[in-house]
Amino acid sequence: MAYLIDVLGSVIVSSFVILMLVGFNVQMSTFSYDMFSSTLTQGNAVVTGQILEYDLYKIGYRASGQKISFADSTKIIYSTDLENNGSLDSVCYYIGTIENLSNTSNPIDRPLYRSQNGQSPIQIAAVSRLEHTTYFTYLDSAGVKIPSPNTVDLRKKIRTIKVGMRLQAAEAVEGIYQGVDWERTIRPKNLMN
Amino acid sequence: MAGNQTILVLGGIILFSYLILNFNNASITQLNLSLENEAIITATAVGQSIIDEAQSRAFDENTVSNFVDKVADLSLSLKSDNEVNSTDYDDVDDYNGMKRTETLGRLGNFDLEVEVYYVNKSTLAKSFAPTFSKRIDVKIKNNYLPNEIKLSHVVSY
Repeated sequence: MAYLIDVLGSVIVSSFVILMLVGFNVQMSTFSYDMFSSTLTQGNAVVTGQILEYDLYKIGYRASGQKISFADSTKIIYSTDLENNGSLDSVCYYIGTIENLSNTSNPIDRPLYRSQNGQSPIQIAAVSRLEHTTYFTYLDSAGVKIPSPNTVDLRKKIRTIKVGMRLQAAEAVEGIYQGVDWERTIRPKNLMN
Repeated sequence: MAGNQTILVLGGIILFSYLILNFNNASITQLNLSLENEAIITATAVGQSIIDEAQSRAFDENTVSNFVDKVADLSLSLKSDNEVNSTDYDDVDDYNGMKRTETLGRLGNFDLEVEVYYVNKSTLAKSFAPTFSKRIDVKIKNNYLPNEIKLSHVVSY
């Protein structure tokens, strides 16, 4: 009888230890993936920020006519001499649709595309909208928002471009999509006059 | 014999618990670091925006519509000149003492404080007399930042 109790006791204790081990392993792998996802998203945010800053600061460089040819809350097309070689380039940034990123499990992420001189667009990042602002916001010299700069005269008033987006991970970890809020006000020197 | 086995099992469980506690501790530290990194990325972008905004204004109240070639003609006091909102600011030092809070969805409020002062152009040390260089310091605070972040930029006339 005592022998049976010993065996039963040891089975119960070993079951608890195995359960703890399994839980520990699950927790460790979840945590590792969470950290990986978080680091990846932060790295993406930094690189996306650098690309946007590098490009948007150059708006209108050596452009004599219309510097910004299209501007709305999800798209901007502008002219600049990007390579400083005397020929004007047309650069377009736009936000795709949710369907464009239907292969990710994130239900609200959209691609941010960059296209140069009408070439095929390249996806820069997966983004979603910040709660309080649009992806691209345009301000005049006094810092007042131009709601829809859909005419040449309104676009000529643009002095500042505010870019706001949340960069998010494609896959969730325990239901949470890692992300970084990125908001930047850019004042291209060639829009100052 | 049974007593020895019980002690061994208890010892094993204690060691295992110690391992789990250490792991949890490391996880929390790592999570905090990750949040701090995220806050630094966002804070830097928000702070840099204010510097951009300030440096798009005139160097001094007296250079808004005139040309100045002597430091004596520059403003002595560095503050906003009757401008109430930042949209009315027309020169760099109007931003001196400005406080602004940017609220973002993930990490909440980012409190910004701006200081503008004259600096010696060669040493970048604070100068109490006007010079043709002004330094813009932006301090950014957020609950997830361990210390405030300070961004600086020097504008010259």
